[in-house]
Amino acid sequence: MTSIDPADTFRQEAADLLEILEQSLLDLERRPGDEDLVSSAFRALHTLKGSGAMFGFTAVSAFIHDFETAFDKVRKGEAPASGELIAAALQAKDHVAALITDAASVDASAGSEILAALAAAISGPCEPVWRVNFRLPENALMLGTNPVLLLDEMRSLGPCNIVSRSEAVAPVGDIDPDYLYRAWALEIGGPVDPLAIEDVFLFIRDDMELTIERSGGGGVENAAADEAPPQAATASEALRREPEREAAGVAQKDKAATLRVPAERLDELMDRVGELVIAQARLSQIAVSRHDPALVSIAEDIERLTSSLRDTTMGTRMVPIGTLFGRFRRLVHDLSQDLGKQVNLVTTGEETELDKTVIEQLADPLVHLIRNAMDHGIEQSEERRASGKGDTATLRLSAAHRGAEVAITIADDGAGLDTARIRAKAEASGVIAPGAVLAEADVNRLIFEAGFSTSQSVTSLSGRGVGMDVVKRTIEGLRGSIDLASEPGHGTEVTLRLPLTLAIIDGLLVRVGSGRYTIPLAAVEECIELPKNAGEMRGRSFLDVRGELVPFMRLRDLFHAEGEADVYQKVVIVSSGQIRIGLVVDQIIGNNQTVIKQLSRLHSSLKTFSGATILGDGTVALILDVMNLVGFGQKLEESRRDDVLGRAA
Amino acid sequence: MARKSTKTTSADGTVYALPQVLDLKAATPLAEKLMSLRGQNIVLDASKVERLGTQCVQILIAAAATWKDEMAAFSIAEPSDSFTSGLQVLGLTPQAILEKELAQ
Repeated sequence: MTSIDPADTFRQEAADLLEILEQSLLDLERRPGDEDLVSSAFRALHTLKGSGAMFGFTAVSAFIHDFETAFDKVRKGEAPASGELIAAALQAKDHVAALITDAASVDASAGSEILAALAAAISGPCEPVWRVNFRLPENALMLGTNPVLLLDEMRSLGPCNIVSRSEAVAPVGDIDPDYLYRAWALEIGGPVDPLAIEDVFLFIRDDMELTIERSGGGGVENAAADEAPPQAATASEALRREPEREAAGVAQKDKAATLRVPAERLDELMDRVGELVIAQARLSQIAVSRHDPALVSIAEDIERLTSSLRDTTMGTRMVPIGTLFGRFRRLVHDLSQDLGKQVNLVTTGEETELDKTVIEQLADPLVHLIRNAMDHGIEQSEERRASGKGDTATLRLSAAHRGAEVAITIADDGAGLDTARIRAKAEASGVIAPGAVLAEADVNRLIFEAGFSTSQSVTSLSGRGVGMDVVKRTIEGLRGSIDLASEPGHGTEVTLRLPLTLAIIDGLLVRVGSGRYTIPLAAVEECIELPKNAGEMRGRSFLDVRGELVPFMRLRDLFHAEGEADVYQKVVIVSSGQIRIGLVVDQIIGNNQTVIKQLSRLHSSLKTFSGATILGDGTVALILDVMNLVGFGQKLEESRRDDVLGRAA
Repeated sequence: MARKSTKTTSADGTVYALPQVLDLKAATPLAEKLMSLRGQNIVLDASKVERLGTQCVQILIAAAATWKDEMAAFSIAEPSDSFTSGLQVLGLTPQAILEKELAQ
């Protein structure tokens, strides 16, 4: 059994809390008066501090203590959540992350500078306002309590606005002058300690109603004490316990709703389910061969349960892409400042779920795409104004399910791709021949070629010719694809299309010669019989499928299969993006749950196969990489066409 | 200490001059006095008031509400600075007694 290092547990929790902190800070920058955001940031800090101390991260705890103190002033309304404060707080957050990773390698003076920046940011004047509601006991006057003296004492604490209220006013004949029928609502400005407010009522506190609430700067609405909650908690207790209670409340809610499980365990579980699927396939095969109805029935039950278990297990690995999107807000925030461009990041579809492996590998490609959009796509403010656009550019990051895929789109409203410059650069660097006839979309796609960059100057962000080709490679490695659309003057849209999971897929098992292969079912459009008259007519391999010409390739030829081809060969028509291609096979065996096993390093360079799977009889079937096959088919088609044209000439 | 008050009439109704001292001890006599004027339009002359306590403020508020319920006129005339400040320390104004409080 895996033993878990408590420090790792803290690091995991800290990573989540730091993310919450960062999101809150970034939101606060846009909504500086939002008390919920301030509370959220404070809670994250408070929990981090407590956990840090508990797990022995003393440097972290000590730093956060000062960080928290600074932010507490914002929480109390004593300092504004200014841009300077947010900037310093974001640096402080990064510093905390560095301390958690390796405190020994962090320069202590950097922390001091950040804390000094935080202190400077909160030193500005700000009018805090405390809202106090109180109702004295009915017999207060009889006991010698004079509300006038209490109110005078309150006035001595700071500028006061007092309103006296009563509930129902009794007729004058029913009034007992010795009883008190009044309640008061006050607003006190200035740097008032809430405990000092409570101390005013020290000797009568037990029998009275008292609520003390902080209100953000800029004044508060008059509040009637009569409207105060009848069972208000002791104000000091409430104030002292607030962070703990709120943090604990969040933690308890989280604990009730979720369970933190190490990712390795999920991987192990997935492997076990994979093995179970294979074992189940073997059982099904044996059951069918024995012709025993009872065994077949059990095998079918197990198949159903295995399928259900597979779906549930895969569900546990699904992570909302919002966890990834959240990181980019900081990236856009920082890049906006570095580039001097005003960019508003709009995200949608954060709830869209993807396999955690896919999410993990998506981070770098998305960073590259966002950097490129901000560096190359989005114009400087003057240029935008000249084009009739607003100063602030919009960068949209969205995710949505599309069938068995997830589409992630990065769209900007910038200048769009400069097709002429891309072509010039491609010709100059030998990527395409000078004057080559290419559609505009094809020219634009050249930005994904290795070593390609049109940036006039190399910046720290982009222009070094690395990045976009890495994006393409990574996405293709995830069995995904990239769509690119650009309109000059209006912006660029890059869409990444990715499979939902990489672990188990539904596959179509086919036979080619003596070998068996699996084709991802999501890519299969239809299966037809290969017409007898289908052939390489005029050097071109096309099938007429209901009036549409679909190129096809014979997998027997591709795999150099031995022996005679089946008399009635089948064509599996697969698609990738807009392109369709027919794959000629000897036999279609049927659907199967395909547990994907990665190919060894020795075979990793094979483009035709994306992996392998173990069949019910224990043999191995290779999984066809449809996207690469389609590309290969296209090239094959082009070369044949060139040959034919060459011969004809 | 003797607490003197006078009562006259005006076009607005019976004028009742409030005593100089409206403290704890003055509360019950004030309530009784006002009860005796119940049903009449009254004007409270607050010009002589030098001290105003919480108890008497409550009586005045209750009286204003009672007079309003009974559709009779109830007003406060020439409030002294002490009367006004006595209300202010409690978060009230003469107008609040007559209007705001009644409007609740």
